[in-house]
Amino acid sequence: MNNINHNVLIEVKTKDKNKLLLKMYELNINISKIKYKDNSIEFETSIKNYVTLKKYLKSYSFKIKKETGIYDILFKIKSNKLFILNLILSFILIYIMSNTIVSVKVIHSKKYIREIVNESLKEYGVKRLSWKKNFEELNSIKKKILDKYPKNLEWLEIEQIGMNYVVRVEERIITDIKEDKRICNIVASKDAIITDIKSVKGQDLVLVNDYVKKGDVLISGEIKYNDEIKNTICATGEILGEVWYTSNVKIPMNYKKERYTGKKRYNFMINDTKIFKSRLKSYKTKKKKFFNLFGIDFYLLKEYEINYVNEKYNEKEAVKEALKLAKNKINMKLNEKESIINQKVLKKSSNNSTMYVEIFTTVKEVISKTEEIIEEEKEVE
Amino acid sequence: MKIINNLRNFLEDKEYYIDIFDNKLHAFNYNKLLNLSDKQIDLKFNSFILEISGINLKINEMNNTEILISGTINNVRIKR
Repeated sequence: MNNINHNVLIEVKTKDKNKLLLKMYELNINISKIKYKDNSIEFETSIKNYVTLKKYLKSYSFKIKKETGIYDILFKIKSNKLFILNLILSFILIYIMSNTIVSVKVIHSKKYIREIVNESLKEYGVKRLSWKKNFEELNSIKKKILDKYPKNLEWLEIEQIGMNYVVRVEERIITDIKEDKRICNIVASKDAIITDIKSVKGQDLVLVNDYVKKGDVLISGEIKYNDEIKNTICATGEILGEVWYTSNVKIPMNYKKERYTGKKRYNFMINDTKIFKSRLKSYKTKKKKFFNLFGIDFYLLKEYEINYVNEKYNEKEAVKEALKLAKNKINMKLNEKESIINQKVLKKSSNNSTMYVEIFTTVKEVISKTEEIIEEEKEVE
Repeated sequence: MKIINNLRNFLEDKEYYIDIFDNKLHAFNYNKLLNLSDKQIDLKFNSFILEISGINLKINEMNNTEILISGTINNVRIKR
């Protein structure tokens, strides 16, 4: 640093500028960038010359306006050091945050698949608050995990979304085809009218729109030709039918109805914890996700105040409510293939406080079940 | 510019160098500044005196060996 010229910009007040310049010339002072102002001159010279001027030209007042060259830069850095430090720290923080993974989510319906993949990922350094991996490293990790579980995993993909890794997995399913040596029939589990027949193996004994009773054989495991049994197998298939139900529903005529008062309050939630205590006595809540930070969910809550009002059904409303209840009760037992076809009110009666409704419902549902035929050993005489 | 001039002087073996351009006068290797005013500046070289006259003459840069003068230069005279 001592070898670099330390130059300064000096200002001096004088009326006779040429006289001052001659004096400086006599002192062998090198000056540059001279600027002439009304009552002063400004020039650049070395710090050593400045000291000489102060020493020999005491009648003049030399003032350093600023340092030039590298010393000016150093001075600016020194006076803004806090800002510069914050700027550097910000860049470091941004770099760290953009290369940090805050969550690893494995997507699969089976828990044991999620567990084995999670454990393997942790083993290879892919876990919460770890450093982001590059493309080659991720490919290598995927290959290692698939090689480790060849019987369980078919395919694995690691996708980076923001600060999270989302891992999608496909399970390897090895079908062990065992020969089924049982003999079985498909029989009706309920009385019904056949609507759909899907037979895979066996001999169909019924047609669509046939009425069957509980226990009737629908698909036989005995394959016959000209009334002679040629082969016996375990029949497989699925049959859907229209089943009838009668239900009795009791509806109280008086009920309490929820009503919104119009009052609204706001609240916040972090994961499952509310920040403020609710000021409303009874309310319904609507939740909206604000943002997620380092795996923590922040929600905005809107609380709508409700009160309960005593109301009374009229006949039409009570019947409608009864139908709704009966439908819900039946729907709970049905799967995605099954559905309610029709509902009809058979009978209704009421007293002051209760209405009794008898409802007839037709449902389309699976009526087939497998029944194994156990051959009895016959004694040979 | 100083480096180029030095190199030129070294190669061409020049004692002094006077350059007039764009209302400026640059003199290299002068011996002494004899006179300094708004209207006249006199520089001493080895074998002559350079008299520069004009209006509003000012020194822009000055050291032991070279000097840069600006202003309205009307007359430049070499006096032996």
